[in-house]
Amino acid sequence: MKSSVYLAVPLMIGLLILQASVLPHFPVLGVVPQLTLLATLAWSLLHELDQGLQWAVVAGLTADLFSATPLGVSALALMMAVVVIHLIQRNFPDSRVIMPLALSAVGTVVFWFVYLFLIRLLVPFVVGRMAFLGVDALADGVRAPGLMTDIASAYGLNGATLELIALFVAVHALLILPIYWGFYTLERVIRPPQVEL
Amino acid sequence: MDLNETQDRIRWVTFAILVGVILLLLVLDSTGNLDNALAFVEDPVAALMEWTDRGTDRVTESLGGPEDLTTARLQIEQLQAQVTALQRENEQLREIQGEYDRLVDLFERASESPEFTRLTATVIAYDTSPIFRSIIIDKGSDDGVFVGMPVESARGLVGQIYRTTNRAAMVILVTDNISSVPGRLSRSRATGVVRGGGLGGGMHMDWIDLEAQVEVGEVVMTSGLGGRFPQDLVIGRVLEVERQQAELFQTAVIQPAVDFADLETVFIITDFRPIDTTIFDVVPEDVPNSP
Repeated sequence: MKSSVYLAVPLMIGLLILQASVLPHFPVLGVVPQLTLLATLAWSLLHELDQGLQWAVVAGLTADLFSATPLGVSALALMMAVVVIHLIQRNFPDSRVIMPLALSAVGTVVFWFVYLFLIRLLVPFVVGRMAFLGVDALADGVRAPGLMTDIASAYGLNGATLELIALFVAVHALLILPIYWGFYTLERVIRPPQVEL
Repeated sequence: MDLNETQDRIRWVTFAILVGVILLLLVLDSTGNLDNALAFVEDPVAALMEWTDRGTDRVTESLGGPEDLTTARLQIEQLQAQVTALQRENEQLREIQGEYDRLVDLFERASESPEFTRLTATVIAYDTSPIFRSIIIDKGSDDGVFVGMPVESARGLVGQIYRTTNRAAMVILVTDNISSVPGRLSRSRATGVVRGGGLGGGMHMDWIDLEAQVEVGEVVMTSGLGGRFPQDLVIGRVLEVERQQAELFQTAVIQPAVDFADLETVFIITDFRPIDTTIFDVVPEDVPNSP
């Protein structure tokens, strides 16, 4: 099993800095592109499932480090997205334009569905942790079950979250090709295809 | 493979790429993100236009009559150099003005409630997930920042420290879904809980007594109830009041005082000690059960 974690770690950190510090000042269609998700999807399209999963773990964990998201949620959601796009990719003819475009949309949707599902499941954990730490919100949330339900429903599939997912699909479709082609070129430079003489 | 089919496919792919590129340019331009890129293209074109214009002027002048072109050219160069120097100076002054404004804000905020010690921090990043509303600041436990400390800006309450590292801290904003701050209305003095709207939008204040006469525009401040926030930190203003007779309480839609999209500097209130009220949650064993 080839490992490319040595490449994934510095790259994801770089992308994360861009995503968290620079891109929020330049939102596209009102959202900040999820570069770590795009890089993982693009890399997965060019490599075997195991490598895609490795990248999903690295990308998910680094993203969660700079978020209030419980650590590991993004990694799980990304892994699910990688598995789904591999299953689809295996059953369709190879294409360097259509497949990245279509699978970035599928990957984004799967990621967000799984992510929201997990967040919704983990709301009591998040709220409880905050209450334990002494951060307000939480204390009230823990005491009043009604509030907890309200908070959980905010992470469900409502109008706002569906609109957000649709925007991400559009923005990621615009950005996946440069990233995919960048990785493709990098791969050709690092590991040129072997020719049998 | 059929050659025509391949050519067709190439054509369609090229077409799709071109359409994609045009759409991308359209989107970027409409969101203002192309300004720099356009300037990059426009600058050489403008230089060419300037050169053409100068050439045209020279021809016109030579046709119009003999003049001291060398002197005029020298003067133009000198004036251009002056303009460049003044532009640079202007930019520096604007930077100083921005810094001055921030310091004035800090001073005014500190003079409003001198009993608290504030630590100034800079916002260095935003939450990587759009679902959560949090920011990362450049002060951490090495600077005496701990979980639970209230964070405000010159305009009002920002949030509360959620996580710290040695040199940075994460602040959960009051607009996050899981945030709730005990609040009080400035005029009617009614209390309630201000909750963040998260992705869905603004904040709202719940559990306001139905009898209270809440007015649009009223300022909402922290009540200090619960002991986790100091009193009288501005949270926002009432935008709308939702009152239903069937309900026991009324709700107010709140406009946050802070512009979270444009947050650069925040102040951490470092000497406020949250009061632990959890002891009241535990019912002592010797207390008889209520009937």
